[in-house]
Amino acid sequence: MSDVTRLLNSIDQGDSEASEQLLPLVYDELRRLAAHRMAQERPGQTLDATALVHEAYLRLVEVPEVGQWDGRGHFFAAAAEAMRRILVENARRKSSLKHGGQRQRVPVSDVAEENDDSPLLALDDALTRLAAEDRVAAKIVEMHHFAGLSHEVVADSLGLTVYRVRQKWTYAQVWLRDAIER
Amino acid sequence: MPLDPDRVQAVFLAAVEAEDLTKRSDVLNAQCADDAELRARVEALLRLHDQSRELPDVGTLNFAGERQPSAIGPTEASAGKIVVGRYRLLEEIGEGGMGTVWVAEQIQPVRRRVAIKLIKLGMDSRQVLSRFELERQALAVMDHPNIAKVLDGGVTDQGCPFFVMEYVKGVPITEYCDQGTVNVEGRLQLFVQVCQAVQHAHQKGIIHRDLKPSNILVCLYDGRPVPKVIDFGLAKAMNQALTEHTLYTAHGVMVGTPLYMSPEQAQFNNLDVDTRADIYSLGVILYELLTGTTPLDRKRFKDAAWQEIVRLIKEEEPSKPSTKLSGSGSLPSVAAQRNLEPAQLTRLVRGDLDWIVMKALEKERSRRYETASGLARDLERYLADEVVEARPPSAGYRLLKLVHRNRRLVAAMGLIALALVCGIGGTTWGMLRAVQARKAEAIRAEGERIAKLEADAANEQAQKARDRAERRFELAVEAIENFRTVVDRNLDVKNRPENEALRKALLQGPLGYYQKLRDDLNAAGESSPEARVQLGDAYLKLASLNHDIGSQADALKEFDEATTLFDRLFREAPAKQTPKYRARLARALAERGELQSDSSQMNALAFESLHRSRELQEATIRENPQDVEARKTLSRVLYSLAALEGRKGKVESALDALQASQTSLEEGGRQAPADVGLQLLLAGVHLKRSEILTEHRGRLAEAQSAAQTALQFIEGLVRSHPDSADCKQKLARAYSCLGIINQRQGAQERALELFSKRASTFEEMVRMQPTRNQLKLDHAAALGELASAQYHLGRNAEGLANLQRGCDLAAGLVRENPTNLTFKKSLGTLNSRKVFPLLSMGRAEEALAAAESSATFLDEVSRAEPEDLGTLKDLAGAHYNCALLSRELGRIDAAEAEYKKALALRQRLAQKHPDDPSIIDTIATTLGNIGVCQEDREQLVEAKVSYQRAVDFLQKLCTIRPDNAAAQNHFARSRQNLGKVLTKLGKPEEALVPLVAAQEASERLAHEHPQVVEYQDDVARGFQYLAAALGRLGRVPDADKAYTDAIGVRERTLQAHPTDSQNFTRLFLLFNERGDFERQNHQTAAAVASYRSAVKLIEGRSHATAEQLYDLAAVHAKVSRMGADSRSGLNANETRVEADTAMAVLDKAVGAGFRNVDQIRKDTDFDSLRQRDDFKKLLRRLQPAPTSARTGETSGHTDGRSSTEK
Repeated sequence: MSDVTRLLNSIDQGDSEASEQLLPLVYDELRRLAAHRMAQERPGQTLDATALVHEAYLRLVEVPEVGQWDGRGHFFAAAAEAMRRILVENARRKSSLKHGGQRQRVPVSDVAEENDDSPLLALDDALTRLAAEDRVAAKIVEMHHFAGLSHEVVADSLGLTVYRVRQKWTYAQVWLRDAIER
Repeated sequence: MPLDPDRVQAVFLAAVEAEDLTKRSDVLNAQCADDAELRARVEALLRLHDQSRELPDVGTLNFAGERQPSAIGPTEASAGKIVVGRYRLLEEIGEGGMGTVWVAEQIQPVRRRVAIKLIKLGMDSRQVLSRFELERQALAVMDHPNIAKVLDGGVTDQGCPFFVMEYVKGVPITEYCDQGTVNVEGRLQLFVQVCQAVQHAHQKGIIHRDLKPSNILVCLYDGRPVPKVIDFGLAKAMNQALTEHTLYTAHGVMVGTPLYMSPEQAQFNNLDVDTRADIYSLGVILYELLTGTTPLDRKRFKDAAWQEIVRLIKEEEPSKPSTKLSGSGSLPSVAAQRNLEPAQLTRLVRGDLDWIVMKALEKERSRRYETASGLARDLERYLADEVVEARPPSAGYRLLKLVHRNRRLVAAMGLIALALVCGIGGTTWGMLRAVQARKAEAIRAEGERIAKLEADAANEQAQKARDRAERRFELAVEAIENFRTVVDRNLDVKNRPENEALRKALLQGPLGYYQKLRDDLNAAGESSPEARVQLGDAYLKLASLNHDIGSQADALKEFDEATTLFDRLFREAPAKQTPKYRARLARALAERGELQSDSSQMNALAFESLHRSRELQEATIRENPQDVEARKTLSRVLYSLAALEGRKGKVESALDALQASQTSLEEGGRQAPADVGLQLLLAGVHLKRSEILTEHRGRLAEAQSAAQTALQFIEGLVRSHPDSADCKQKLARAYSCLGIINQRQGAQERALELFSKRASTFEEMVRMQPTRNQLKLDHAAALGELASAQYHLGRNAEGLANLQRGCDLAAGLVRENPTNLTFKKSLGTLNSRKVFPLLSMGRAEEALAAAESSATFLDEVSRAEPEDLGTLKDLAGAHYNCALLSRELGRIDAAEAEYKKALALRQRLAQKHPDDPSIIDTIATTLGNIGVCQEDREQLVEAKVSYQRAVDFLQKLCTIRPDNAAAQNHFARSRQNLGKVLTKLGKPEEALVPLVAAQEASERLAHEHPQVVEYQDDVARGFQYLAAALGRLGRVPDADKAYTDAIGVRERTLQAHPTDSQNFTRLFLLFNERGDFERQNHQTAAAVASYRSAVKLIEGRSHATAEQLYDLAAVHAKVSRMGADSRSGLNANETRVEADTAMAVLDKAVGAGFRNVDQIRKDTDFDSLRQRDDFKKLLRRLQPAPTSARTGETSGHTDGRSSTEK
């Protein structure tokens, strides 16, 4: 059994420490994958976060046999968080380059160079604040917006109805826009 | 006081979900009451919400902007409301993802009913309207009776876009057709009109983009259905591409459906949509009109995530309409809606309609019909029974499609790659050449261009896709294999045969998977060696599954495919790769060879497969002598080869193969001494050697020594592995092997001992593993075979006891598994084995009961498996036995009925194998016996017909097997019977023809095989029948001579075989018959002499049966009667002595148990005694009172019949 599968099993059985151990594993894998992909892609081309997450899933988790426990939910939640971190770090690194940082190329660096990344950083900021107010809403944004997971997958992972997820998503969007524009 | 965030959220959501602005403010008024701060906060958020702007991009492509329309936003629509001063809303008739549809009344400039579509707030009004303005000019020029015109459009006072259309009061085309049970022709005619309407729009440069049944309404004009296409141009105006929110409202309700959307429309943000997108949608609608379902499954769309839907539309190849129909559970109702029987519908759709629909549904739009009228024309051609334009896609086309689909990949690898894909084999290359060279050139040029630009990216992406696909593929294969293992392990069919049916049913699942996999891999083209290995593996899996399930023909085909594939890989592979392919090729060949050797017609092919496999395996072992698995496979191949050679009579080659196998296994055994599998295989080799030798004449001694070796080897194996069931199984086989050899050598006692050991071995195994029903079955079968051996030694009681144990075992299994056929079959067979032991013990009633019970069980099995010819044969045999016994018990009617049942079954067998000699033979035997029954009942005409049929069959048999003595003998006998009955029918002249021919054949046989008593018997009988016929013709001297010849033959036989009671009885009856004949021809003295000979025959016997005594009494009585004739040469004294003797002997017969008083009373032979007091007294004694007489009669009857023919 892979580490990740084992951790997912533990989380499912209520082991909260396992949850903390899971994130770095997923994060590393996603980062590795992202770096690998980006190194191969043309400037200006962007990451397909969904594909990355699914790929990480296939690589890290032993796909259960039919009818058995399926730890996808926990995994996607962790992956979305990892994805958010990666994207935000990327944006940070780039904005630091723009503002006089080293001109040297770093591996994970080619995301949308012509774009101004500060809105993303602002969004990240706002999202952290939203999490303080409504953790679930923030998680939904993370999964849907950052990791590109469909509402169905999000609902499934968080144990909510799709309807509820869409409601929260609707609310979170305006909340975040309000927070950013303010 | 800070605001409660939860409260803000709740109020916000309530407001957002309010149906309109009024309701929204109602909500706010109610919820916020006088909390101004809360209200301000919610209103601020609502403003942001209504602006529907996006969150900052996170730098990803596929979900860059989640534009969020407030789809459940407020609308101002309500009945009675007047829109832009011209339209009064009357009634809402529909609601869709974009808004609501109303029937409205136009007030000016003309009064008419119109349909108004009000677009929901939140759609970008300006954009919608500007696009609509652009389209409007074009829409205005559309004028077609099957298109609902768009009349107006604009924006309401509240800023909500709207469209006004001609109001069509109709129902969607699919609904109309199904409700009205419109037949296929009617549907096609309606659909052709739709195509023409679409064509009209296309000519005006307008694409619909959203054709679906709900946009094609059928209304009745003058009672005639007229389809009308609505919403033309609207999709374009709203730039409706497939995005997540064209499918869902803001809160996850699926509103739209991409079911009718073309693959190019499903492409994200694809603006390159042309008229052929509409052709695709028309294809989907046509598909639905024919089959009742859309090509892609509606249910799957419902459950699938958005990306998955896109993938389905772009990649999923739909099944042909006819395939979809035949696989559909709702076919009966679908057919009924089309006014057809299910089979009719499938037939109707198969072929032309399939191709027309599939051509419209091509994923690649250039393959679709160029125009809607092209589609219409093809349908009209179909309706007119002309050749349609749509054709099944050619292989060349499919290759092109493959190249096209993988353009980037192909390009990246450059021309070399292209050549590789195309150059897989000569045929593929040829196909490519067959397609227009220009097209191929275009692809290449394009490929090169892209290659320059995107080589790296493409490579990477292709790799990524391949990795993912590979991973998924492996997971799927693994899951399927797991499933199969689980099925096999849990059902444990090897030991629990009762699970076989369930297993077969479960294996259909993996079978279906591998079929799909094969089709997929085939459709994808065999590009890389890896892909071809996968394909080959899939073929192997399919073959073995089909083999398991019992579809041998399919399995063979798949083995062929796998072999061809691996063979090519093996030949083409670089040296380093060869072992990998060689192993696979060897395995495929081995399995194919084994399967082929099951069928006698494929022996040559089997040889070829097995030989080749052998060579490959030997090469593998030469390279790697440690490969024990290869040795095992080789051993199996050699084993099959030996069995095959053995069957063909090539004993030496068979022994060579076994020797090679033994050597290799022994070498393997030195390397892996702990491997029991190797030892078991070695045991099998020893056993096979003995079995092959046993089957070939003159090598019994060698067979015996081989069997001894095998037994010793296996006994050693059992000693070191006392718990191994496999070893014990081999031990049982060794006992059986040696038992048969001893039996053939005449060492019956030793054979019995071995058979009994075999049965005990199974018994022991059953004790060790009581849940293994297969062992119980084997034990029962072993007991049955032991019993047969005992029966042949005359140990009927012991045999019966064993059979009873076997029957009890089988009956227990049947009781526990009442639906299982294997167990029933076994019980049936064991019961049939009881018949002859019981009969020889004189327990005919019980024998009949066993035969009947056997027939009952086998009948059940045969009904469930009508194609199982083995059971059919056994069942026929059971009925035949029932007949035999019924006749033995004097129940001629029952016997005839049973014979006829057996005959019917054997004729069914003959239908399957018209030239099978043994079937012809049994049919003739049955017919002959039916004739005998009919003759017994004096139904001479019927008997003649039966005999004649038997003769015909046997004539055929003799042409098939001209040199077979048994067949000649049977043929002769059947002609004798025919002649006999013809004589009885008063046609002695006719009778002579078969009788003379039969006589020639019989004499020849008797001459060639002087030691066979039956042939002498036949000659004697032939003379006897000839004599009767000649007698009837009045050729007395010839008849006389024939009788003399008959008697001569029988007397010689009597001398050679004095204990042959059958010949003895027949000779006695022959003398009698001759006497009767002579008496009738007034040769009284000769008659007396003949009778005296008969008497002398019996008197010479120390023990005579009651029946014989009765017959003897009759002869004496006949002689005494002739005393009245002076020519008899008898004086009065002699006559009286004869009569007295007759009386005394009759008394003795009664004393010995003869009870058939009826026969005594009626027998004319006793006429001379009837007036005697002692005769009357005897009769009175036998039948004192009417009541007890009946019992006496019955039992006497029984006794009277049972002894003579033994």
